[in-house]
Amino acid sequence: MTIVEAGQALRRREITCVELTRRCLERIEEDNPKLNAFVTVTATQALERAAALDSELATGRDRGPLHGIPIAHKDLIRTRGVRTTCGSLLFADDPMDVHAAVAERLENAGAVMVGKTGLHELAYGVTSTNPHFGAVRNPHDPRCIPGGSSGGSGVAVSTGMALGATGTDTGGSIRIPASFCGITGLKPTYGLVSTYGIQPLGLTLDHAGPMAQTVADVALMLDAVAGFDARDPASVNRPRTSHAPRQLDFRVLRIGMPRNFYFDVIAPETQAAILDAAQRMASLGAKIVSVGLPDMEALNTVARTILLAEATAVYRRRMARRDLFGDDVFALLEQGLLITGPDYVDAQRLRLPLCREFRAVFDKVDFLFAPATPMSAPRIGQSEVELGGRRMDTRLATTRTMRAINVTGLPAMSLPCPVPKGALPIGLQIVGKALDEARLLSFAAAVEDAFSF
Amino acid sequence: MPAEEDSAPPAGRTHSPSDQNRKIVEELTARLRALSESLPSDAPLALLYRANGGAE
Repeated sequence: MTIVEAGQALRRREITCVELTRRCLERIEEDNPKLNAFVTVTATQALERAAALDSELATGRDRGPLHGIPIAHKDLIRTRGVRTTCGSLLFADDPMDVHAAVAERLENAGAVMVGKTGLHELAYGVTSTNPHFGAVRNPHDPRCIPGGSSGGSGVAVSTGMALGATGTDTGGSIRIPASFCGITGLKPTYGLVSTYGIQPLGLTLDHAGPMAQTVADVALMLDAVAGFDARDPASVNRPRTSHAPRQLDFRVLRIGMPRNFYFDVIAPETQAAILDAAQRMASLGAKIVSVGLPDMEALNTVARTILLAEATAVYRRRMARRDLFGDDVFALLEQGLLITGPDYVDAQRLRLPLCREFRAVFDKVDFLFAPATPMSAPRIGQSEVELGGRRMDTRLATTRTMRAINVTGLPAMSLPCPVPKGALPIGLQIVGKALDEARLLSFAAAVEDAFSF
Repeated sequence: MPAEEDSAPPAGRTHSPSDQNRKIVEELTARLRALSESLPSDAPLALLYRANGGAE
């Protein structure tokens, strides 16, 4: 059941908030032991809140489309009264007195939190194979990773343990699990969604955003969480708008297909799926435009340098306790210590001209089509993947198609392509113009429709 | 020491993680420094990156 369907059923009195919540909790009870999507399940609080929301509906108070909708938060989004582990041993004594802006806004919109989802340790990785809380598993094949770092959120939505979930994306952490789990995830424009109350990783690269089964559901969640927040220094101050998908005239739409980079290192079935998506949109009247992108390897180099330095700045005071970190995360933190101040500053100074070049692509096209990930989900513990005859580190291969977009701050989403029965999901990445989420989501909804034929 | 055991290199690798990490960062910063050659000395820094390129 999607958020839209659940909302309709609630208002037709075919189901109650408590029943909806109970369904999700039953799914968690059944699937979580196998898939390990949740670090914390808040069953009692969720049922109490759902009952209160039923009472509100009964007395005519309707908070809107998320009223009574069970959702989950990635476990680095702080929630008052409920522990936030960040997938780490560092936060055992976290005071639990902060409520992140996204948690607060979803709560005000009537959402019911059923729990906190598992993630890659400190959100610093793409597997969600967590040394402290165990491996989160892909529901399509539990031998595979769900992607990360918002892996638990991807699994929760994919299996119906929650109808929507929050994620964060510093180098692909919403879009990667969306791609591997076969759901829809949006990394909004930088600054559109407040990161107040969310444990940072890449201080100038972090984004928060929604994950759900459909584009319409993602749009509803974005409506709730987007908006200015003075507590986040990067927050964009602009009037709130609706992101509900609307009809677009395809005859005036130009879809950019990258000539370089994105299809250089890719699994054949992923490439075929992305090309098929473009063909479907072309058959609806959209114009497909072959575009050359600026130096994407340069953008990735800038992204890696910035992230290594910023993440280590966040955690270096804790690094004396080596025993509290997993091996892969500690190695990255150690690498961050080796980035010099001038290198970090130059990476930030390179960001501006590179972003300007990348944004110029949108003078020629309305949206870019690209693979979300260059391949479907690898196995748990698989350290290398083979793509186009090249063996590549799994983390670098998975983030290759992602990182640059975090540097630009542009909105990007992953939505599931049609795949043969039994095949692992493949995600289509659509990149749009800054603060143009309403059109991006409208377009993505049309792509979703085209996929259903 | 447990810390040393934790950071033992995987089988088949000859460098300690610190050497390995150093090599990774050297390769990365070599690429970054090559890119930085094109930066004018007065290139601005827009650290608090607002939407769509922040300061612009």
